[in-house]
Amino acid sequence: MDGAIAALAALMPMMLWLDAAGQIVFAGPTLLRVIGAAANLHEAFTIQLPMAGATVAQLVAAPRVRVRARDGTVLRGLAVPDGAGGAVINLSFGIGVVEAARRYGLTEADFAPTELTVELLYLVEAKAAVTDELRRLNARIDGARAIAEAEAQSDALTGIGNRRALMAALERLLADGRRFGLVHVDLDHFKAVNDSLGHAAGDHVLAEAARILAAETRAGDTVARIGGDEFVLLLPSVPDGARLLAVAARLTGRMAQPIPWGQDECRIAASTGLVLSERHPAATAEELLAVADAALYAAKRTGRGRAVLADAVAAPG
Amino acid sequence: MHGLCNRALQCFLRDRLGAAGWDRIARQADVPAHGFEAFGLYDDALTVAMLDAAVTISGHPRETLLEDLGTWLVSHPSCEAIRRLLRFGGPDFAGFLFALEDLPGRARLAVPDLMLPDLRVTPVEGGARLVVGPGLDGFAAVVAGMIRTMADDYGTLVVLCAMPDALDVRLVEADFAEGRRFALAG
Repeated sequence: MDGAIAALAALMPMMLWLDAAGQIVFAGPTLLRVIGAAANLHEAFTIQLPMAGATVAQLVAAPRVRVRARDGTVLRGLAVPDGAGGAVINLSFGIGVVEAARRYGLTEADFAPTELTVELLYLVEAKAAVTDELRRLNARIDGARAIAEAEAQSDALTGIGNRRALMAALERLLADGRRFGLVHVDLDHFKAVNDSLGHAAGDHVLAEAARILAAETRAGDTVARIGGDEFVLLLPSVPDGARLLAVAARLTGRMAQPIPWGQDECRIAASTGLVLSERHPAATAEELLAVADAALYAAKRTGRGRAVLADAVAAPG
Repeated sequence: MHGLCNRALQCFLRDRLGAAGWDRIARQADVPAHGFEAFGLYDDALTVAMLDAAVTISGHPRETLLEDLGTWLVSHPSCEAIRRLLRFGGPDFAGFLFALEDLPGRARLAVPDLMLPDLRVTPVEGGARLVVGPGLDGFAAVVAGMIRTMADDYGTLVVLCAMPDALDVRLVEADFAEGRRFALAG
């Protein structure tokens, strides 16, 4: 009989043999690490399945069982009758084996080689290694995408936004129903700078103009270069006419300051067309830009370095 | 919050409220323009903002939305993989119910940084009580939706009684209807 039990325990190192009253007759070596010196079923476990407080006969009738050890470890298994009113239950850690291997310091010798437990542990580690690698790859791709997106929305020469960035910000403001001021800026005398001092001087002027415009913006505002010497500011921070005109006057004043270029000075001016979103409630992004363009055109017609707030001109179309 | 959870919420809301509804939620909650990366990690406040926006825009209470999310996760054709993985919990509904305790461990096995709250199942007269641990506000409602739908999947008739962070599941009839088929090798 002892030989038979030893053979069973070798085949099933987590077996539990109970007599009819639930006393533990024999426990496999791996199971002993979990239940310690418990003398009977209910001292070793609380039973979840088939039901709380189940008897040995009920376990055999189930016959799938699920129990929780005193330390919280959950085991599941199969109960079969031992022929004398008791039961032999073969238990397993199930998915909890990863935690159990750590908790009890289990080794390969604790499992029957026919079980897939060691393969499962291997799989867990292998998958974790691959997942780590994939996460690093993901982070690299994310970083590259963020850079590509920033580049796709920025103007290479001046570092401020480009037309794409402007349209995205404008669509978003309109979708959110936000009030904002829009300033369409066109540099006067820019062609003269390019022609007399060269393209490098022209590029320098554009960069300086962008810097001046950017200095006018607050958090949540947008500044973009949308063409050769054309810029647009979106100012949710300035939603009223008087303040928008003040912003335009300040910009115009700053732009009128000579910009040093080597031994020379570049002299430009800025004309501005201004739009208040609330005066054009149903306008699309394109329509608002057209209104701004018309206001800018009106400003240019009256001279250089002027500002015109739309409404003083008829809406286009 | 794990990107998988945020993505699940995103896909569910878009499915339930339409593309226009989702766009409004995304704008209101300031969701990244490209949606969520499945394996990204995000600030929990973003998920809360997304849910708040969904409540405002849909007009449904938060608990209802979350329970619907649970139902959607295990019944929508695009989530068939989740239903299948849950069916690995056991050959019958009672087995499945107690195996929910294994769910956080199984989830971590698949996605190491996916931390789900502890689930504790204790037998009570006529069924079981599931207690949801802390860590993911509203998870109990999601689990309620999942359990209700998985009971149908097993063909079992259950009555659920939801409490904050706990759930009583009363098993009325184990073989109430023919459940959906499940083969280990799908």
